[in-house]
Amino acid sequence: MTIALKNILKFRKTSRLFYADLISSLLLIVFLYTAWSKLRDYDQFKHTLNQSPLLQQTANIIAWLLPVSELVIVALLFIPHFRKPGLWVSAILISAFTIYLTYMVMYTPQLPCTCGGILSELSWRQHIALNILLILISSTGIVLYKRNNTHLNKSPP
Amino acid sequence: MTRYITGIIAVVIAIGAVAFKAPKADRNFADITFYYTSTNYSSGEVVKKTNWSSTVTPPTCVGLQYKACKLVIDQSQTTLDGSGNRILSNDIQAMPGAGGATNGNVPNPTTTGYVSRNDKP
Repeated sequence: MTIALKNILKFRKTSRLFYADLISSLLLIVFLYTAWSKLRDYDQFKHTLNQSPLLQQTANIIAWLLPVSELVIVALLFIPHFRKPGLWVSAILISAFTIYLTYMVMYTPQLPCTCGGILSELSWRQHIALNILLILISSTGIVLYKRNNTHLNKSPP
Repeated sequence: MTRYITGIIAVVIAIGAVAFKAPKADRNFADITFYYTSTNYSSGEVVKKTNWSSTVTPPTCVGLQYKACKLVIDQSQTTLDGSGNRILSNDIQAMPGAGGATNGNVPNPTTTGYVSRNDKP
């Protein structure tokens, strides 16, 4: 293998890792921001959960479990070794949000907002669109990390 | 170690976003949830403030349908009774449910302080 080819492969690998880390950082910002917003306006968050017909019974548990889960994801996304599992968990959590939002939009006449910070300014449909975008971004990050690992495994010693 | 840099920058940006959030306009989060306690769903009964309680065990309320069930109202439209429980300050307004007045009435959206409602099927 020529030095030029090696350099190209190394550059591609570095780029993949860089973009994957960039995606992790972007999601880290989103989760830290929303977790912090929920904890800062904890009473309001709990109140809006109580208004949700689906979550009324478990509102008190979800009110602390959700921001704590988001902070766990933040920790995973911060540590380079755990970024890939962090992206998986974030994709799963955002997917769960999206299913909940879609159900609410389709079947519930009154829509209380249970999101944090500036996201509470979004309409429910805008929120669903944002979530789908975040799922796609997470998936892209997972693929980039995966390709990076595959490439590493295939590299000669 | 260099891979921590993007994470550190992300944390700083997130903290900055939270810390420098623009002040919100006044929003009223002190909404109180009341539940309909009577089994009589005539308009004369639905309007009565004494038939709405904020302290009963929540019944199953499913959406905008036929009979009065749940009413979320601005705290300013409530008052404290002798036991310290929230009660409606005034009678509310009623309107026929989805099945017509003979099948049951529900709170009218034009009621002052009305935030949202859920009804019984």
